[in-house]
Amino acid sequence: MKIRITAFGYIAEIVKRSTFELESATDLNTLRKKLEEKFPEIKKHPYKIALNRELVNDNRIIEEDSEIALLPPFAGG
Amino acid sequence: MEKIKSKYFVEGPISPQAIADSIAKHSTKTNIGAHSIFLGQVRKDIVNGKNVQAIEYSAYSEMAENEFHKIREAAFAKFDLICMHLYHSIGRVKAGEINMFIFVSSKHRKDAFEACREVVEQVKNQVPVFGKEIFEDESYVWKENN
Repeated sequence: MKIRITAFGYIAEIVKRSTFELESATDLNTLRKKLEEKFPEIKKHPYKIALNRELVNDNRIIEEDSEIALLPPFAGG
Repeated sequence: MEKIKSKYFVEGPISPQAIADSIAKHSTKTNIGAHSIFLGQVRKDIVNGKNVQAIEYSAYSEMAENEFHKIREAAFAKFDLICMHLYHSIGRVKAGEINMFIFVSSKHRKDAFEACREVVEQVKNQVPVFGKEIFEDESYVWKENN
């Protein structure tokens, strides 16, 4: 199952695009590891994961149609 | 008049005229006794000796719309409010221009004051908006809220 990911801010700069795909990752912890393997620079920059438009800090299973976004720190307001 | 991208996002800076027009539109709501308005303005910060001339805002808009909606609903549930409008800029906003307009109305001032403050803090904490601080030489750094 390929995972489609949207990246924002400096994360999009590190991965050099705003949407990309990753080979199967069944849960978020695996996803984080795969991201670090593919883009080692990501380890230097804090980011959060949104799963289906909600921020998640713990480990979750990634379903078939999951919407995943990598979010750097917010700067609104 | 700004081109409204969505219910909450406005392309570029929010003009003082748009703010005045919004206030004027509420004069028919004669049950309102208090408006509390917060305006965020881009500040000419100095970062590593360079002046910020603008901030370029971007957002995860689908999630941001959800979060704005949740913030609105929570405020109406917690405070006795009559009306609320939340606007945030997308794109480039120069130093001195307005990037956020929070407008809360209620019968009495206590609810307006308290709700406005709470909404401002929640917008800054919860809504996935990102900002590039652009310097006079067009170089930039990514902004982080405290």
